[in-house]
Amino acid sequence: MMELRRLLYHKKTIVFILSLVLLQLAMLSYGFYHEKPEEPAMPASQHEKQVQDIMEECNRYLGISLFADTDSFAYKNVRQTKEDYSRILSVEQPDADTAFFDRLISFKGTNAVCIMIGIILALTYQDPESGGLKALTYSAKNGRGIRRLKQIFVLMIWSGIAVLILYGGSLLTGLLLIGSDGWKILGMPLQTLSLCRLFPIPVAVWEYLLLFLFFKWIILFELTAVIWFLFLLIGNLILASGAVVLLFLAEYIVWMAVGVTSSWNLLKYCNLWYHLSSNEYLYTYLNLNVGNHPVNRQWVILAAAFLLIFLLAVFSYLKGEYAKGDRVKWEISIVFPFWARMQERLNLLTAEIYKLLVIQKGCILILLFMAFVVMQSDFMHVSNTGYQEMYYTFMEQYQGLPTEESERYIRDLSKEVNAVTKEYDEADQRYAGGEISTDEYFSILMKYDTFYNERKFVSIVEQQRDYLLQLRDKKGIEGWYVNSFCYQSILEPVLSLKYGLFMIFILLTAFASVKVERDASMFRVLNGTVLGRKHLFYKKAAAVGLITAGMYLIMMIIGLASAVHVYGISAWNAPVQSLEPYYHVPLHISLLQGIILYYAGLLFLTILISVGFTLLFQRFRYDT
Amino acid sequence: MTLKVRHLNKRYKTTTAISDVSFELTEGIYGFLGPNGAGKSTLINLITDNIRRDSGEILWDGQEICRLDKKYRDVIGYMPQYQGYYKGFTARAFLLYMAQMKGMKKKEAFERTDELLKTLNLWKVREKKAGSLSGGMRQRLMLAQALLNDPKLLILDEPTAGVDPQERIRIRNYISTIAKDKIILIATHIVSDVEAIANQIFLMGGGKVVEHCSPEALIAKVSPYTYMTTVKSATEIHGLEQMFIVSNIHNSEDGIQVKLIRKRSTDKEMDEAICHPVMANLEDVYLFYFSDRSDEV
Amino acid sequence: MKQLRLISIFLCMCFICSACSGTKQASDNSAESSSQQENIEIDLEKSLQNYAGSDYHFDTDYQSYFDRPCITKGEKGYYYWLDNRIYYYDTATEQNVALCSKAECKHSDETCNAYFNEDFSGDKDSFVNSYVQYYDGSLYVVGVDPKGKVNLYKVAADGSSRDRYMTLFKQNINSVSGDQMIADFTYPDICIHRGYVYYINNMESEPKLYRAKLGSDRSEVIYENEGTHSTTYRIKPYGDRVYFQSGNFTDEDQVNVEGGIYAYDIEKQKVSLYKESAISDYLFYEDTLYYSTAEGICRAAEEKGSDDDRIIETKSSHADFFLLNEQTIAYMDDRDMVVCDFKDKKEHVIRDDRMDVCYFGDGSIFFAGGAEDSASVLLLIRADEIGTADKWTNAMNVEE
Repeated sequence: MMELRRLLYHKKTIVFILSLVLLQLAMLSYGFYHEKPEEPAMPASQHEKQVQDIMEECNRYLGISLFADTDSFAYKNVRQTKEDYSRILSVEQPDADTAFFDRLISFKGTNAVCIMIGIILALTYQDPESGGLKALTYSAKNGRGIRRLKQIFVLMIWSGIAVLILYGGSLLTGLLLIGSDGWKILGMPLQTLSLCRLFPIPVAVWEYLLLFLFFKWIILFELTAVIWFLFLLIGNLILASGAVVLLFLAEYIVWMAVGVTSSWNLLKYCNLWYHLSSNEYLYTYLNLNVGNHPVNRQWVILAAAFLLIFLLAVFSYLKGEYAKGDRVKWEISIVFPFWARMQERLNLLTAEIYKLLVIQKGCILILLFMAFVVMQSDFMHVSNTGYQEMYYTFMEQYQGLPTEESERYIRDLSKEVNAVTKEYDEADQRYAGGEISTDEYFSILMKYDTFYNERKFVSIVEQQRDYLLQLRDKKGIEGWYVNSFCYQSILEPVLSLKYGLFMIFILLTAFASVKVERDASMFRVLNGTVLGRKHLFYKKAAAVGLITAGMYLIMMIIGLASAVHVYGISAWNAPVQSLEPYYHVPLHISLLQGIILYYAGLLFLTILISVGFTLLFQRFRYDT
Repeated sequence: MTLKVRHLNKRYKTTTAISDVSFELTEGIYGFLGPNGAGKSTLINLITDNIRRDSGEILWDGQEICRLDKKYRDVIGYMPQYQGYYKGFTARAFLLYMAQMKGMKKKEAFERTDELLKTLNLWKVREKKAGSLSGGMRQRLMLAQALLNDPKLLILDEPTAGVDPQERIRIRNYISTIAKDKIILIATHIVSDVEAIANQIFLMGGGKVVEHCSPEALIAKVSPYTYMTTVKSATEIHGLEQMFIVSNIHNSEDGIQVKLIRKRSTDKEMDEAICHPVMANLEDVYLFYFSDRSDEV
Repeated sequence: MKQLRLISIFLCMCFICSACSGTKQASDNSAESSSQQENIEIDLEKSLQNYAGSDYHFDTDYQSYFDRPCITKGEKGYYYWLDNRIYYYDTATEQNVALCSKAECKHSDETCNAYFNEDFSGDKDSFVNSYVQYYDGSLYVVGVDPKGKVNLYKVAADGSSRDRYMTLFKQNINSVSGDQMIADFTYPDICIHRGYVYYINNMESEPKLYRAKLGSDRSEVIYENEGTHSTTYRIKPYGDRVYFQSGNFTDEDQVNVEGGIYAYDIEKQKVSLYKESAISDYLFYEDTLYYSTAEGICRAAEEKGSDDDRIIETKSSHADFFLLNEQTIAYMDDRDMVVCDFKDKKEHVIRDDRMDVCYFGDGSIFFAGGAEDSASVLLLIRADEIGTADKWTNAMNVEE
């Protein structure tokens, strides 16, 4: 009983939960009064006919060879459907205004509040690993596995109470607002509710609502148990919270990625995200394939929830029982001495690098960032569009100074493209005026469509040609035709996602150089040593500079290598002004020299920024 | 070698942490005793130049420590109140790292590290991660790093915090053995840390030095106020607390023996038939100065 | 006078001779267009239900007898595309049903097993409504995922599941919006035959023929036309050979092609030119090639070096056609299906305004796609009626 009462000692928590309940009640009532109810998909009068149609369709399907294999899921599904719908064939439905009940069972605001309450309940019943509380409870007679089971039981009780207050409160409020009609509807068949017209469960509305509450209770309990268990497993509040977020994210991704018709659709429906975010499984009919047998979706969900809760109970019991003092920790006897030797030989600079990469787990950040850089690179580029292929072929042949042949090629192709475009424009006008038939128009349109790549290619290459002419006329520089896709990839603009993330990486690394001392409470000690002040700070700045410079060089190599791999770079000697973005460059240098300057400049900037931020963050070295 | 502190002051917002503190230290062991919040750690931080002072001077061999800068830090060894270490470093690697921080040459660093590891009984765990050492071992590790550069001024802030009695005695004895030609400052609220080894005790309270002299002198001052009596029941003790500070209660066959310290506000002479005077110890001195005083000496 | 008479006789002889001479044509076999609407009895025993040859394996061979891959034959019925859903025509009961066993389903959204999204909105898979193939107990369709990967999807024969099976290739359409994607994306030609997928990526400016092992994401090029403005199309596997056509456009409009039929030997893994100047519809019957030309339908000579036999003169050039039996051919003249008995010189025309495109068939039933009352429909004609029927039959006898 004390475990049950534990929540009651968190008065602020209870107040917060009650305010959430009131909030959702307000949202529900507001929606009921102000939102226009949707027209029911099928009026009550057509219900019987619809059910009959479904039954007839079932009979028809059973005669068709496609569904005739008695061992197949499809056959069994048809039979199951027929059997399920036969139960509501003779159900009579009076006409009634069921808008409130429809809203009650479909309202997702209550789901959101449920999630918040679940998190609160789980947090209330989690014990921190650190501190003396664990030692206290684990040394008590019933402080281990039994206590865990009690906590799960208590979570179940509180989940039920929360659901009762949430939905029960909403229902009572609604009944009060509707009046005696609402009470009458409770006794009517479930199919009276417009959302549930074709939900083949032959029960009354009140029985259905009990079932609905039961489902919501189990789902909330499932959520609470999962979060509670994650906190139990991980111990650390921040890490456990992160794990919860990751779990939901993973479940959301699975729910989105798996199709309704996929053979893996059990993962979609036996999914906590789905259970919490949707109510449709409680009013739309669907059978899932479970071991080649059709099972109603809601029962699959319920079974999955029970199974998960059972497993969590078992694992939490075992974990609780496992805290034994005779556990032996094994060192990695081969690796660790080497590691120890390496640590002893670190000088001040390498010690700072070690602190950043190993102690502060900077290597993980580096790996993640590198993975991102590779994903963004041209290595991931698989194939080109049609006009890109044309462009590359043109560059292979005519790269360099514009020649008579290259100009002629562009002119001829442009002429051809313009002729087709003109033909299409004229046909468009004539078709609009009824002067040509549909067949003729579509024939010209199809021809126009086939010239899509040529049009795109001509537009790009003409722009390049015009630019080169302008370059020659205004600046007296003989620009070359160079593969602009290739060089755009190499000389990527600084205002891009990649560089933005790189900037964040620099900031994090600089901050980590201070944080490592704060975490270790080392600053006062270091401050009292000969080299522990400016000298140390400069070493830190150097370490951060080295790491970020190294990262930049790797980024640069990946970028260059991927560009070479995809485009095969050439025309190094072309004037850098051959590329339009570099029109204003005042130096007479080649593309190669420009690339070197570009990268060198960015490298210098990287080091400058990283060193600057490191020295800036040293101001935050004290924890008080 | 001298450490002079003159009219030192430090305030944190509305709180006076150090108020006009002045003293001079030469070779020897000095204990800074006082309750929590007395200003001991603030004083230490000022002496190690970890925080800025509001006013006053701290002179090492006649020169301001801020001006000496590295030269000053070359002669000090500091063991902080809160253990500072890198969890992932082994004990030896950590000491070698600190040796570099102290500007020691490699060969000297290796030799000194190994010597201290053996002396402080950490040799067997030299390759264990600092984070996995027991509390006592970590305290010894902190002490070892403070001693790496054989400092002239050794500052120990709560050196025996969280340590068992045996360990405490070991650390205390070790400090005694290395005290020659050094100024050792020990800030603590545990009387036994300094009782046996300190040359002088500084009693600190409310940011001020309330009293400072040798332990024997302090004891001699307080002894006239110290008595022993025997009562029949515990309720009688409550009556005694009006005039006395209860220093010790001991159950014996004859009754409950209670050691009392007369409050300074009480002038009344004691009836020797009921309470007979006894010798005070440093704990009694501590209680005399810091337990519930309403008047200044 | 005598000379004048001789000259006149000579001229008459010339006229008579010219009427009898000319290139070797199967003019004896060509049906005159004037003999329309004659009923032709089709000898079903001689029909081409097994015309794919003795080496034809139903489970693993591509069904080259269909002219369009939007219909495929299953164990006991046919699967076909209609309005971005797959339907099933049951041979025994002659009923149609959507490929979805949920009797309560409206077949109108993605929750339906038969429904395949064709909207390239960029956030879900989009499917090609022109390809479905029955292979080894399952159906295969082609679709594009939001990342531009063109995938093969495996669908259960009863429609109960659908999963991505393998990736054919990737298109760089990331920066393209929905409408542009439709304009930009051209569906591949594809067929699965004896454990391999053969496909042509029509997005390439010079399309090549690829092959990938079924289930593998790695493809290899098995044919690449070296010339410029090339095109490769119409893959038709027969037995251990995969036939396809390849050529080069000769005009700027990319309408006229010079090319031929090539054969890829599966075992030897080699491509060779099989027939020059055969750029239109073709088929094989018992290892004999029949192909369509501008003038008519020809049968390739059995001996090398001999002239091919033009067995029918068609009303339209490069007509799509089907061999019903050794003496009867059906070909398309715009929307008319012309059935010709080239031995008995009979011709029968089936004219139906509902018909849009003919799929031909397996020899027992022939199918066509059409529209009736503004709704898409599947039309059919049985092999025994094809020589006598006036109209196609609407195979859709189930209301949606």
